[in-house]
Amino acid sequence: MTTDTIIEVKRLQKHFKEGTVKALNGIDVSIRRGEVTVVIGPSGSGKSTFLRCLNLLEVPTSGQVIFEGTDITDPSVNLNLHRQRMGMVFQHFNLFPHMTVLRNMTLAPMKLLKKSKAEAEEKAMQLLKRVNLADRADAYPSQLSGGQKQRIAIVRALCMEPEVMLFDEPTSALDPEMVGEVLDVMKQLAQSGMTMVCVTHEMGFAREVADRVLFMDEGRIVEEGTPDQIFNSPQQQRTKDFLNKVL
Amino acid sequence: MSIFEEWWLPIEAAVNDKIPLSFGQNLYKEIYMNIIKDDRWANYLNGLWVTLKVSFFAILVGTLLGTLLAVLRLPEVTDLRYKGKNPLRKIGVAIVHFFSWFAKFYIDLIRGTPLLLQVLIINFGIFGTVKIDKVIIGVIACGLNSAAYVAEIVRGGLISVDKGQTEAGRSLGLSGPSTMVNIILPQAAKSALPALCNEFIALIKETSILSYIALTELTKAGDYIRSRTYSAFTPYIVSGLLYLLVTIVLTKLIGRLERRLANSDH
Amino acid sequence: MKKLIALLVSLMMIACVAMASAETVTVAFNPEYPPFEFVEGDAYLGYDVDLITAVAAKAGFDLEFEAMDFDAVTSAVMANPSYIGVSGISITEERLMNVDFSNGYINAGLIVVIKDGSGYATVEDLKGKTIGVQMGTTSDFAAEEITGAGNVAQYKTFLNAIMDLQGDKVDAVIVDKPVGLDILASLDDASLVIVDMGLQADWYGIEVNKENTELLEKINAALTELEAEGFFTELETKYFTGADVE
Repeated sequence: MTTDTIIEVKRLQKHFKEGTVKALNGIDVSIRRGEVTVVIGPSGSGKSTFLRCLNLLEVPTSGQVIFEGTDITDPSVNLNLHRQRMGMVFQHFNLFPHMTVLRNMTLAPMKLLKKSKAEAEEKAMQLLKRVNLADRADAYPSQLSGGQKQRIAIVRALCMEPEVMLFDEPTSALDPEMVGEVLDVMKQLAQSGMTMVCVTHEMGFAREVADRVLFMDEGRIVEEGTPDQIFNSPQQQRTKDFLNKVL
Repeated sequence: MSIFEEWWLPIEAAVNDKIPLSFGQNLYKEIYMNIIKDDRWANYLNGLWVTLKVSFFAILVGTLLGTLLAVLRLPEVTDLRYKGKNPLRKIGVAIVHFFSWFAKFYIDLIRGTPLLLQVLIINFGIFGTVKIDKVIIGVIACGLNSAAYVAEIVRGGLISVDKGQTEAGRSLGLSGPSTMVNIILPQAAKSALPALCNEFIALIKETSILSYIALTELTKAGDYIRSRTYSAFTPYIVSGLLYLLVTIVLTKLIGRLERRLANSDH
Repeated sequence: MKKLIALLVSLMMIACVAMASAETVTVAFNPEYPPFEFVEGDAYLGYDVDLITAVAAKAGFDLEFEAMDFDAVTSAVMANPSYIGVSGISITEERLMNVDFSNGYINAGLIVVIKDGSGYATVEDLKGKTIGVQMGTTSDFAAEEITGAGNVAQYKTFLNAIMDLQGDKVDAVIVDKPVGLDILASLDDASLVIVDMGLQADWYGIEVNKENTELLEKINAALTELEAEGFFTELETKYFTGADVE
């Protein structure tokens, strides 16, 4: 495992409603290449906001997000180029309902990476095979189950060959029997060496797959460490309280 | 002498001799005078052709301009902020804001005034001293008018598309405009289609107002026949039936398109 | 019982006679045609209005005015026996098919309005040109004969035709002489000139429903009387020569 930093977050703050709601209260953290970072914490702790600030879907109120050496909060950088290199998976999948699975996956590579249709489709089919959905290439999203949709959403992001994958509670909207199939794909992805930042409530996944766990509360990182440190010997009282409730 | 004229001769004789006509004879008199005589049916068809021409291009202008206006009214545009120091970008944002404000002003202005006045102002005012084909004036007037209504319909459609769709597009690295064109607009178009169909039908009927600037469209064709035959309303019924035919065909076509779109995502 | 019925019948007959004596005739017209008919404030004025008022006084019926588009006037008279059309209406063969006309009361002639410098001098020059007219008027028929139906731009009002002439959207406008002179005088646009191309006009007459021959006779009798009294000279002085002054 290499240890160079891929994303560095400095004094990140995000306020909503003219500063009356402080979702993020000064976050400093480094995401290292090849690492799986899992963010946990009670709802309203700011973990989703934190994740969405990493690719600037939420524009931070202040602070910096330095991705591969570039401060992407600087308004003069071309954000679109950097976003191409950060895949994102949403709680509600957000597949494009008016396109087939294959078109969902080839749209961005053809538009942005200037791939030919054949190239883009070949890559998409490879990825579909990896998640055992090659037979659904011509289906529309509404014909898929939730678990299938989320697996497609993951490989759609992978089609852009990103450097890092961001997961925003990817299993929260799924029926329980479908959670496993999505987590399996994520584990597979982690094993292949992908840099991942996951906001999740799946403590089992965090324990098993994470290289590092961040515990957030009230817009701050309260505690961070290996899964063993966080789950077996938490140092902070708030971490202990939270883990007692969820485990 | 055609069969129609043969049927007409005894009726004409009766009219000249002031012999009262039977109901059937009166009916045939109306049909003969208003449709058959002097190939008057061709007047309706010419009028219909002009109406179709004007409507087609006005719908085109209205839809394109209306969609642009709708996009300019989106929160993503009205709330656009730029905190950086690049002066060109600052000016760019200011220009976008101006157009957004203008879009609002335009929509209010057009929807708040009658189409007839707009047509008269465009013909006698804006193009008052320009030699220009009346069909083009009709397209401009009706297209500009329709755009304001289309804008509100499309805006409704755009708002109905889930915000997650934009986020998914942007997170893949697609630009704002590209996300709009490839992802949001196709979905908005689908949900806006029934209302758009209504607007298109309304537009086709409203082109009749262009008879005021002496454009010989379908209503004017009826007017023309009436000014020659003095029939109280028969020419208007013929024109009306032709409008009905057009709008029914359009409704069917759009219905088919709607079903095709519905099939594409069950 | 018989007496009662007889009484009722005679009462009804009296009522009918009374109603007939207070007959109200509706004048269908298009008051956008000065100096023949126009609106000033909330009053209808003009040559035709004065004329029909005088006729009604002589013939003994009451008047009601109903304003409408010119091309609707004849249809209105066709449909209602109590309607007459008094709106600068020329007596034509086509109209005679559908309504009766009183004796003609004026023949004013047609003139052509063109832009100064366009150089149209004769009817020949206007062939194939776009000619603006008020729909359904004698000018409309004359224009159609000169340039073909496809080249005639028909307006609801003569003023709109003149405005499109100013805007070069039509090449010429044909109009009844008194009407053209009146509007041009009030427009005061030096770029418009009037050419007399010797276009023949028809006499103006009053339209009467074909069923109402009794009314037609009354109107004709009144017109003859007025003629003898010199009423028409009076009207012409009031509206044509004098009216050029505002």
